[in-house]
Amino acid sequence: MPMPKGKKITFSYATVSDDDESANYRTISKVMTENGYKMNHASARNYILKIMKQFAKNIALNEGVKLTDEKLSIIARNPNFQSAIGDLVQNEIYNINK
Amino acid sequence: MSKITEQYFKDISKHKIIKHPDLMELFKKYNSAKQPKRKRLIKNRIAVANLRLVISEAKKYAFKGFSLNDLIQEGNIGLMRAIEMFDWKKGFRFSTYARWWIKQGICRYLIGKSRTIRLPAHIVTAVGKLNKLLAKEYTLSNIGPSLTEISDRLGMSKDLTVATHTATKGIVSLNVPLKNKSGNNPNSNECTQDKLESDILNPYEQLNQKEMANTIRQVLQKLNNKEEKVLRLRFGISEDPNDHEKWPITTVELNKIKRKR
Repeated sequence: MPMPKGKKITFSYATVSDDDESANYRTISKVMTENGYKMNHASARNYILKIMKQFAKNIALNEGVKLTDEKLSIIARNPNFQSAIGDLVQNEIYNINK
Repeated sequence: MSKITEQYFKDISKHKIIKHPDLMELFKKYNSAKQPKRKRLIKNRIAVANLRLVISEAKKYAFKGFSLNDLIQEGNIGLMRAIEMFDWKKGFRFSTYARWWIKQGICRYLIGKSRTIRLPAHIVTAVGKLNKLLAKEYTLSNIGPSLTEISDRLGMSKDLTVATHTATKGIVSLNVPLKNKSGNNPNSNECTQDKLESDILNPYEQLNQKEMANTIRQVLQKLNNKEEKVLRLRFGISEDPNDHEKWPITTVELNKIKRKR
């Protein structure tokens, strides 16, 4: 079976690989289930993508651009975008806590 | 003194000074003349007779680093204005009146050219007043007057006082090499511009960053409890790094869970 054409980020399931700090979807689902929020790894991913879509939508609106749902999904799946949002959220939350 | 200036002085010395009664007669003729050509001729005669006055006034300002030629030129413009405005009926000498116009012309030129960044004439006047006031106050006591006191005494608004005070500050070149705390120039070739470029974001970037932070905050506020927890887990953001028992988990706990899998 031939490999699909295009970049990996456009069709792959995994978005950001887990490093020391972050957790992958299976770990997230496990922790969430342990804490009373029953979910599987796919649900965890869907949650993340839903949140990323919200970020993408708001940022685009802030720049005066209205994106279609399809385009928002593509941006939300982009690991570079997710990584950037991760940094921004981290900064924002630590600033609030200060 | 340049050759041009010397030649100018020689040329001027050829013209005789007109005495007061004769000058008044000329002014009478100047005011009554209707033909522009005749008016111009009389004006030239009066001006030429008073060019020495401009030189004596310009010499007082020549030490400030400006060319004497330029100062004389500006003074001459003031002299022309004085001729136009002089009222011979009041009985004063023309030189008494003209001196102020010449001085004004030269001062305006100095105000406009003495600073790298031009300041409006009224601000320069206010700066002079402020400096005088501060010098007087610091002589009397070591504690300077407050902003309110200064603005009251100079009869200026607070905004104008602040602007005036800012205008008194010197200008620093961006290409000047940086000095360390002891005042010596370090070996590096770093200058003020490099420091500014590396440390400070430009206003557009600052605004952009603020807008982005606002957007992020807006989205975070809309998230429900479950979504927030998933997001925190995904990016490894902990609420309290010291609390290992409660939500959310720290890196250590996360590694434990990973090992369990």
